[in-house]
Amino acid sequence: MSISIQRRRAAARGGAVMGTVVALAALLAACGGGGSSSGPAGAGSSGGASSGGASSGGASGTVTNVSVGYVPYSDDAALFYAQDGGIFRKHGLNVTFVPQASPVAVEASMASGTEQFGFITVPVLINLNSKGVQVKCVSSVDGNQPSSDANDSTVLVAAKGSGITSIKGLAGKNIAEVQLTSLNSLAVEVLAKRAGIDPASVHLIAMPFPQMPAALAQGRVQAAVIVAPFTSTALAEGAVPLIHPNVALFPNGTVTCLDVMGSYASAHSGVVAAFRAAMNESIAYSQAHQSQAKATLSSHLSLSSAQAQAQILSTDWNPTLNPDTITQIEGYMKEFGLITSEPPAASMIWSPGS
Amino acid sequence: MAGAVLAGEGRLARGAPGRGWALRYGLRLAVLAAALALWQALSEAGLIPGDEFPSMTATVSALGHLATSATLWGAVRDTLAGWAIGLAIGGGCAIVIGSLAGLSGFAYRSVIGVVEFFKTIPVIAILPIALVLWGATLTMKVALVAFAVFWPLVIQVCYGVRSLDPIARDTARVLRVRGAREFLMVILPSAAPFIATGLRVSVAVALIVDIVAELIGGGSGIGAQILLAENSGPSAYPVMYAYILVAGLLGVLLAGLFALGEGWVMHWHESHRMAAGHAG
Repeated sequence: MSISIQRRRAAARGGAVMGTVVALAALLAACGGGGSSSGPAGAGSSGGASSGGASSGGASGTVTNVSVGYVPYSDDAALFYAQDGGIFRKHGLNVTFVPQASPVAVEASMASGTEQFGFITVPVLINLNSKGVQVKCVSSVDGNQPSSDANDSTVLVAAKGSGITSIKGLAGKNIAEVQLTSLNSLAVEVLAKRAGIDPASVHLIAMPFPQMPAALAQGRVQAAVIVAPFTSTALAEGAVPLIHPNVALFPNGTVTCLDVMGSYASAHSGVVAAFRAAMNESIAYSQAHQSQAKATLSSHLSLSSAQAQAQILSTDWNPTLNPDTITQIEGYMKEFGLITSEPPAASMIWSPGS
Repeated sequence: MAGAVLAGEGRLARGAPGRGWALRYGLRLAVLAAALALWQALSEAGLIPGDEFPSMTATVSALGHLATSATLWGAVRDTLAGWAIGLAIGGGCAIVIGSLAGLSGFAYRSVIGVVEFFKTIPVIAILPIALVLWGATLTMKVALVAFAVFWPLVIQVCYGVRSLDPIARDTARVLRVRGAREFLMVILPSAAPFIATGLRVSVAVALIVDIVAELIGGGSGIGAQILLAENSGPSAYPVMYAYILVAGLLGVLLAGLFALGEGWVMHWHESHRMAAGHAG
């Protein structure tokens, strides 16, 4: 029962609504300018979504209020620990968490100015930047993608009785994907092409993770990219694991991050630097004290203490953002026609001077 | 409809307590118990796999556990805040604008097309816009609830105002009842049944939109708790369904309260007098 769905499932939702939201976000970013000055306008609502407009710099001694939009999953353990263990506070940040269903919702809220930091997947990051909306990765969520199957929980499985034993066998079959044009669907297309079959011959069908085990068992789909904790259900019903797509394609790579709007970052570089320092410290601490990090899951997610400890955190614990992965994913997105322009990976990672 | 039934019973309870009342509520409880028992039986027989849908006892026990937690009551409070403020703004605007549009044939013909157009726009479609404008906040929830409630209700109010009995109107005119007085004493009472029906629907729509906004957009409340539990995996499904039950109970409670309020405000109206007559 590991998790780490966060990156995949969330990665997943990016597609359809994106165009509209991107356009609006661009519009708003353009109008908003300084961003944070209008940030606290969300005042009085849902518990303190205010930005630190006044206390620019976040120097020691002052406390800056920031809101972080996140998609709730067990890979958030290091993020939760930064809060519960007082690491954000130590770095002068008073953080409010806002759980949201997808990175798209998070980015839209960031464009509104009510959230300053948020969870994003690399395909969504690239999509926004290629459309002219400047968003930048500030820190890793809990480290990079692990390089071994044992630490990873995203699996491409074939249905029992489908007769599929390798990726070659996917041609002409129905594959369940949590969302089309996501990290997961992109990975299947890339793997199909590498295996020598036409990616267009693989029929991708959008379906939420919880419904995948039943769809596999009933033969409605012949394969699925599924994540823990739903993988164990599917495997118990006879599904056959084929490959861990993210391990195969992005070992030790950055596929998700916590990001910031470019306009906010340039106006509040001190706050952004403090946030990165806090997250890096929390990730290092969580690696050394995994049971403490996992314990945060029982209060932030609906898990018992025992269930929280049973989670396998899907990470290699390396907090250094990997620009090569961003370039790699960008190449795939270009290849499959999801983007037209390719901004350099370095421009999508925040650096103190930028 | 459930509201009307409840309202009828409210009066019935006052008028003739006793066997009829006990029978009605007894039957209702029996149906509820049977449904719960069927749910449990299906789970135990293995017809509903436990990792896809939790058993009744697991869900109810999760609900019992939640009832003592501040999280549940905080979520209920946040959801009710979005519901109440959104309904007040959307409903208030609809009654004012609907009345004005209904009073003038020209205004009515001018706006009806636009209203019909906006009425069909699903709130989900404008959720991304609301998120970009207001983020995952109470303001976003209120805006969506008000939007969802406004369009259907404004039409209802228009129809209500336009359906004024010509005899009542002419009588008012003969008696020189004019302006604000005419509106309050003649037009509004005549439109009231239409407005009440519209509001009764709006009470439910507002709650649905509020929870969906929390679930998809991320405003705090019952929807956000459903999302948290869903993302925690099958082991947290009892919690997720417990919150869904809470949403359902809240819906029943609000509909019941509205029906009681409607019965009290509309006691003079023939539909309510007839219900009362039956009871007596």
